Amino acid sequence: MATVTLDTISKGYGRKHVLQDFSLEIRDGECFTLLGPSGCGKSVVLRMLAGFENPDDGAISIGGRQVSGRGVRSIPPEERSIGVVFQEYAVWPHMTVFENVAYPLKMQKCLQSELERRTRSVLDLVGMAALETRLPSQLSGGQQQRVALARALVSKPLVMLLDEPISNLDANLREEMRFEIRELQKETGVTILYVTHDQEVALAIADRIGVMDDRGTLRQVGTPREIYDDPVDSFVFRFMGIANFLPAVRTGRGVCLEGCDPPLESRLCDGFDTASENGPVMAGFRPFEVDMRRSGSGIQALVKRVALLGAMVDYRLEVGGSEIRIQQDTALALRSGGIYREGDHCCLVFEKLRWFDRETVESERDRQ
Amino acid sequence: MINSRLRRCGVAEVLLVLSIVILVVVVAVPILLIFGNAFITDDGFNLKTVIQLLSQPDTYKALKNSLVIATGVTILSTIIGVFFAWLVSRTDLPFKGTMKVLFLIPFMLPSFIGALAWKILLSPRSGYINKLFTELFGLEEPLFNIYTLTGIIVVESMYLFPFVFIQVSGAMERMDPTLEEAARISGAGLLTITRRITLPLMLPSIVAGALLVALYSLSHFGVPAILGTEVGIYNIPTKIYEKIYQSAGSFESIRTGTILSSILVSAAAVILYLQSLVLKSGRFQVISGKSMRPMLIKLRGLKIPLLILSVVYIGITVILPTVTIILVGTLKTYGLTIAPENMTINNLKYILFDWDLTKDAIWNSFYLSLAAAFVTMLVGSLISYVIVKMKVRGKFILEFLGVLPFSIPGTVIALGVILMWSGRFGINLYNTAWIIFVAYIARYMAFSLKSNSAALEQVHDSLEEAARACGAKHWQALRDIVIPLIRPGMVAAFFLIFLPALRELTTSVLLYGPHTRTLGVAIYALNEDGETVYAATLATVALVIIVLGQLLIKRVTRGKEESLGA
Repeated sequence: MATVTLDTISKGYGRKHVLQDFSLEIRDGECFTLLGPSGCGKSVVLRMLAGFENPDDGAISIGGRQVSGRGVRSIPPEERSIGVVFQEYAVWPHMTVFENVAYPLKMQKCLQSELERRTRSVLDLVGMAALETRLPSQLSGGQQQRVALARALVSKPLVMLLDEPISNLDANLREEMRFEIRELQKETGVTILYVTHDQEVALAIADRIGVMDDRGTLRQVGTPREIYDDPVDSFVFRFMGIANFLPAVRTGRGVCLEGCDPPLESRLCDGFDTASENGPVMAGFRPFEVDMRRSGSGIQALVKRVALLGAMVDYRLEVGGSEIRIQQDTALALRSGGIYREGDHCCLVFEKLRWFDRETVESERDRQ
Repeated sequence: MINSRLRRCGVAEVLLVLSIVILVVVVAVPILLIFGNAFITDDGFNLKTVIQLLSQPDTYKALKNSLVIATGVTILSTIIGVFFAWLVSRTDLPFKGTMKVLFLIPFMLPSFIGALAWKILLSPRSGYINKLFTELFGLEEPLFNIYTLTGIIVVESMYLFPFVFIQVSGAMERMDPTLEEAARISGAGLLTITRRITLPLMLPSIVAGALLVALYSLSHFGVPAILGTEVGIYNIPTKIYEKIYQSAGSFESIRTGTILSSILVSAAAVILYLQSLVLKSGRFQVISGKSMRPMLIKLRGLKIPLLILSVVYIGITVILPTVTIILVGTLKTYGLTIAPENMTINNLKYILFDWDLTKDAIWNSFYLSLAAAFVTMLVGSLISYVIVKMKVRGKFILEFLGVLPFSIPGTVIALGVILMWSGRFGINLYNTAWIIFVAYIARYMAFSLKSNSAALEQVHDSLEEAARACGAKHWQALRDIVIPLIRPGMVAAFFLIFLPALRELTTSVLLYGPHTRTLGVAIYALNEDGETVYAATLATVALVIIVLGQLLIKRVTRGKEESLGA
């Protein structure tokens, strides 16, 4: 299939710079997810790959062929061998399902028998074979998106570009489609760029994820596990899920959370010293990475609010003057001494802490 | 170097340049010529002679009349339009659906034909109603003299009030009923609510409709031409016509014409600007897109009287003039009483089969409208496509030019094409059908742009992009996706141009030559020459064509709704 390379791309509209010196490589046959808040420029990256927009500077190549860049005529979308799936489906309302899916083959001047065979087989693949004579208006959102997928796949493109393709669907359908897109990719081996603002989808679907911030900078590229568990900075950490931050300082007795008495266990303090070279630091952790105990010598916390959400219990706790959010498995909580009530005191045992620059965390918090 | 520059000139740039050239040639240059002619003489920019010409009594009077007529028509149309809109959308008036359709009929009736009918009925000496009254009651004076400013205002209002009616009844139906319900819960009575809540909320729609009437009336030719010129009442368009015809196109008269035209264009621009301000403010917060069932005011004892009032109004403004035109069109001589023994079918036969003048007029109107509608539809869709869909540098020029057609009254267009196409640039189309064709394109471009852009805005960008990603070249994506999807809008544009162009008078009357009279011009000229009966017969033919056309458009647009719903 094909490797996709973006080399120091810059793009702006009027005076607004969307991307500056943006570089990215998508490997042959992988499902790469570009993840970022809305308006961060991730869709612009996709549109430039598709050829709907041209970069102001920098070069783009698909499968070793340069498609746009300095001093070279940019290759129009129709000659790039790509498949695109849009958020709003973009299924043509005046054509039947079959006509929609067969259109790319018609444009390639495919023989009629070949066209029918390939169209039917890809309709089979997405489970729409029975509905091929329907018009899009007679289909549900999920079905329309399957048609769009089939249409993007039928000409065996080098790269598939998906722009939030499932965010218009309801939650159940979203889960199902996410799984199906993954299956399709395994079956066809096509390289996928999947653009989304939804970290859950990104984590579930991607081989690798690139996280962008709202200024269009690529903060981190890595496997879903790396991105979730080893974020390079507080922005990525915060973007990938609920994040707690507590200020920490080194005292004579060891590393302490501010306003808390006992120092942290030394196993938690890996990386503290490196992080604190550039100034004060914050400890960051996820709601599931803390164990609550009825008693013990750990860090003391006060339960401020409790919400039973079903499979889990959501707590707001006060620790040394800051508020944090902790989640507990409901079944586990019931087995081990019951759910805490507001006003209860508890003792926290951390599983893992990450260290972030304090100033950055605070300025990010202010911006939200 | 040249090669790379050529390559960069993609389809986008070519379409942009083409669109700009068309609008410049058809609209911008004629307007510039008008302003140039008005303000620049051999000694350069010259405001003194402008003021001199404007202070001549007859020009000054025409200006004043235009203002008086436009003001009167705007006020009267607004009152009638708001009242009937309220009646059919917010009360429990019986047969509301039917009444609503009936109130739109005056729109279809060309107002100069209406004026012709009212002249036949109410001219001071020979008007049928006036004669009837003098005979019945032995009156010395006629009952009502239609050859007055009041007469002109009343007749124009009869045919222009639907502008307000449509705007306001639409807004009333879309109004969020909870706003009124909240007032009701607070203890306000229904009439208080109407006065204190509903009407203020409707104000933007009312003002928008009123401004549309003002714009139209200010530059209206037909009614003042038929009811005013005979007794020396001129407004701006009829004054321009008179100047140019009486002096056979002398420099002085053209100059007066261009100065008056400049005033018309400026006034139109101001009105359109005001309208855009009004439409931008407020309206959207109180009116939801969803159609809801607002509560209706119970008319109780007034139900039947108000129904009768509505029916009588329609009877007087629509049925009476139409019947008058049809009956007078069959008379052997004008002035005979309307009785079977005085009627004949020969008039119709004569104008349809024997008289070249009328035969030519019908044919000219038919092919000119057809050609203009077709070309304007295509050009309009091209320009709309560039404006709505394309990302190309220099588009703002086109966006600016695209607004121009909306603000140019028919008289001004006629004058502009005369200045442009009478040999000044090496092409002389004067006295040919081509000059009318060019003028129609300029006159109806706004309709085409409106209809086509609305259709294009419904087509999401991703539909076209999807085609490109599927391997279609730009022109293939246009052919396979964009054009099929905007076809209903294009068809609507075609009919929106074809039908009004068929009965066009204002522009053609300044441009016709010996062999290029149009239907409207022929009716007008016959009336001027005292051939009232033949004018009425030809008007009957025009009315039949209009009704048939309306039925056709209804069928076509119904098809459009179905395809959009699909």
